[in-house]
Formats: sequence, structure tokens, C-alpha cells
Amino acid sequence: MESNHSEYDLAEELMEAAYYELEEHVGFADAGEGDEVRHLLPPGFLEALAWVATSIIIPMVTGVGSSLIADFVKEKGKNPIRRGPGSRFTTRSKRDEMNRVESLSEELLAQKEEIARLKDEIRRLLRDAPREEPSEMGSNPKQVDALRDFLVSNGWPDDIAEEDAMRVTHSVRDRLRRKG
Amino acid sequence: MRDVGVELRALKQRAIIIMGFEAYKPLKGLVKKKLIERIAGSMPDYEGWEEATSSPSLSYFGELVRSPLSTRDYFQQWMHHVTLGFIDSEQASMKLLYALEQAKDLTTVEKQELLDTFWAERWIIDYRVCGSMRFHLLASLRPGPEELEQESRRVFRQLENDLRQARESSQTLDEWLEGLFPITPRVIYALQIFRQQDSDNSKAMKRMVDEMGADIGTLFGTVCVNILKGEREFFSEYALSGLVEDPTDVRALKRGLSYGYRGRIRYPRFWYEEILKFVERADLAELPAALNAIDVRHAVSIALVNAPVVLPAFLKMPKEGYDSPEDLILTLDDASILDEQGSKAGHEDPPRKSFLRQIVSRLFG
Repeated sequence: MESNHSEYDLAEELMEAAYYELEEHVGFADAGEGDEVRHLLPPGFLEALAWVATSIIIPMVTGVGSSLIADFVKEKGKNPIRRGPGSRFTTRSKRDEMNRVESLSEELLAQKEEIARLKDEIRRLLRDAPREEPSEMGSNPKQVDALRDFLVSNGWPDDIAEEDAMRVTHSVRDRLRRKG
Repeated sequence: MRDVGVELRALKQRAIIIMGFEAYKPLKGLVKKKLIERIAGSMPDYEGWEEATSSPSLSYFGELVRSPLSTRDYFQQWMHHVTLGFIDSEQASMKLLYALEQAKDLTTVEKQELLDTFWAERWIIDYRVCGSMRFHLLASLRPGPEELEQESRRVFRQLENDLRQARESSQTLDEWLEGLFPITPRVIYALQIFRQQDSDNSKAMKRMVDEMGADIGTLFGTVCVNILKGEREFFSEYALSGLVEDPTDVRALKRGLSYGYRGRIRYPRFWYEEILKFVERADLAELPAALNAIDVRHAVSIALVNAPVVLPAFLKMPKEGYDSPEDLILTLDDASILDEQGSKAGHEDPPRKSFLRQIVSRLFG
């Protein structure tokens, strides 16, 4: 049990490293809503985004792949991360807002379950991965590209997505290295 | 030793608040003249006013009017221009734009910088007007797609830097509001550039900048409305709203606070660090006073200059029962004078007068 607890903390710490790198640019995200509404995305949205970003990086820095993660990322490349709890739709009427939130609720519940599975998979990878020095940046640019593409599919402009993908990767890898 | 700069800022704040609310109802010529005389007449009487002012925007107006201008003359010029700005912002902006276009020795960038100075010194009313003027200066060069692309990236990075600077350097909430104030016209400027483009990248930047503008507008509006309602310790409640999904989860709470600091435009670094200390102490002590301390006149004047039409409408300010010029002039004075006049008249205040009296009392009483 003790072991599980520390793995949970490590996974969460890595997610937080991604979270802090992404938060300044979360305004790019439209959460699949288009530009007709104010976004006001809650912290839960950014957390979901950061979990996916972490899942993309973990196989790169641990050298262990995951088909679950690969499939998830592929799917999320087509369907962006949706809003989480605390969402508001300020430019619609009250009734429209309520209807919209209701129609999203099933989708959000499914997403919540998906993210929970992703967290478990990240913990598993951290537990099973050989304890080696995390690989250097650039040694596996495919994952950096995958993270950039994921950010672009969630609303980031190309060049800023590239910069953010590099920063997130550096930050997660450094955190993992310190935890060694 | 009194500081002319400080006095001038205080007078501008006072004038903006009074003009801002009075402009909700169009002013007649005579009333406007009296209004200007009344505010200008309330300038403190000491030698500093006769000295030439060192205001950056003065060198420009000095050439236009007469040079050198005393601080008193500068203030009079400012009052006339701002009065026009509140009554007819389009005409006021055309006047200023015309003057800027006559400055043949300045580059477009220098003209935009001068415009920024006028905005910072409260010569222009309404951030949308100022932002459109900024774009007009750019559009007059007839930039091609590549130049627009280059300018859109430059202005986006500049907005990010200015925002970061305001977040990191503000030591009080007043400095925070002042630090955000120069950003709002440039938000409009950037949005107008993005509208000329049709790429996914420009749409993404437009979305981000639009969020910036909405966050700052919400911040200014919320602060102003709460002050005018007589609330004093509202800022922390507003700043934290929607950021804390589960207050018992300290890690999630800290992530939410970080998001409010860097992900949204709610509070600056000093505020974030103070609230983190408060969360870590977890001793249910009272919030530090600095987390709610705001100079009410400064905050309200900023909100009115930034978006003069929205605020009175949002406040549902009564339009009826207030139409004689004498009544209008009365609202210029402080609450005690209003009370005196009200009792002389021997009748109840009409709703709008009563509302204005409350405002004057809260801000100047």
C-alpha cells in the first residue's frame, strides 16, 4: 500500500509539472466549443489536459510504451478535451446554458472515466519502468511531436504548441530525474 | 511640500468619476460649461499649478495649444477633451487622430506610442475607441498579409509580456489595476488585426486575446460595481470564485490558486503568495488586509475610463426624475452639500439624484 501511495504522488507530481507549464496558455483551448462562447475553463479542465500531456511524455522518458495511452492520445487528437466541473457558458441564455451543460454531462462523465484509466496506466508505467536515467531531450522527438499535435488539436497555435511541448517535456523529465 | 503630480492624478480621478456618471445622460452646453468650471475651480490653490508640467503628453499639446503650458492650463485642456470623450467619444477620437496624423515627423510606431501615453494619462475614454485608433494608424499604412502576420505575432508577445510584468511587479491591488489598464486598448488592436486574417493560428490567438480582454473587463467591472454598492471586502471572494473545486484537497486547491494567478487574469504575484501562505497556515485566521485593500476612487475611475457605457447601465442607474441643470450641478459636490440642498427643497430626492448622492458619499464622503 505504501508503494502505491508513493507512485500516486509521483504521477501527480509529474502531472503538476505539466499543469504549471500549460496554465499560462490554457486560454488557447476552446474545449470543443468553438468561439461563440466565453470559455472560462475551470482548473479541472487544465488538470485533464495535463494528465494527457503527462501520458504522452511518460513513455518517452521511461522507454516503456503503452497501447492504452497510444490509443487514447490518438482518439483525443480527433476529439479535444472537454470542460470539467465548474464550467460556465456566459454568452448564452440561462436556459441554453443549462441545456448545454446537461447535454455535456454524459460526455464529461465518460471523459472522467477515461482520465481515471489514464492515471492508472501512468502509475503502472512508473511502477514497471526500469529505473534508468530519463532519456535526454530530442532523443525521442516523436513524442514531442505527438504532444505538440495534441496541443494544436486542443486549440494551440503551431509555434506556441511546439514551445510548450518542449517546456512540458523538460519539466516532467526534470521532475522525474530529481525523484530518480 | 505638495506634489503637483499627485494632486493632478487625484483631480483627474474626481473629474472622471463625476463626468463618467453624468455622461450617462447627455449634457447640454451650459451644463457642460458649468461642470468644467466647477471641477477646474476645485483645483488646490498653490504655486505648483502655475509651473510648466512635465507630463509626456503635454509636449504634444503644448505645440497644439501654446507652449509651455502650466499644469493648470494642461488640466483645463484635459478637462475639455475628456468632457467631449464622455459625451461623444467618436468625435473626441477623430480630433485626436487628426492631430496625430498631422505629426508628419513621427513614425506609425511613435504615433502608437504617443497614443498609449494619452491613454495612460486618461486623455481617451473607452478602450475600444483607443484600440480602434491604434488600428487605424496601422491600417493607414495598408499593410499586406505578411506585415499583418508579423504585427499580430509581435503584439501577441507584447501583450503576454505586459501581462507578466503586471502580474510580477504589482505590490498592491491598485498597482495591479494600473498595470492592466494599458493592456485593454491593445487587446482591441490585436483583435482587429486577427480579424483581417483567416488562419487557424490567428483564430487561436484571437481566442486567447479575447479571453484576456474579457478577464480584465470582468475584473474592472466587478471591482467598480462592488465599490459602488458599498462593499469593501469583496476582492478575495471574487478572486477565488470558480477556482476551488474541493477545498479539502490542498494540492488541488493550490493548483486552482496557481491557475488563477497565471492561467487567468485575477490577481498578481504578491496576492497569490499571500493567499498561499494563508492556505498553508490553515489556522482560520483572518485574511491579510492587503488582499482586499483597494483605493476606491482610483479603481472606479479606471473602470469608467475603460468602459464608460457599460457600468452605469450594469448598475441599472435610474434615468428618470433628474433633468434640471441645477440638479445636475448639485451632484458635483459632496454629500453634505447635497443633503443641505435636499432639505431646502423640502422634498424627497428623485431616484437618480439619490443614487448619485450615494455614489458621491461613498467615493468622496
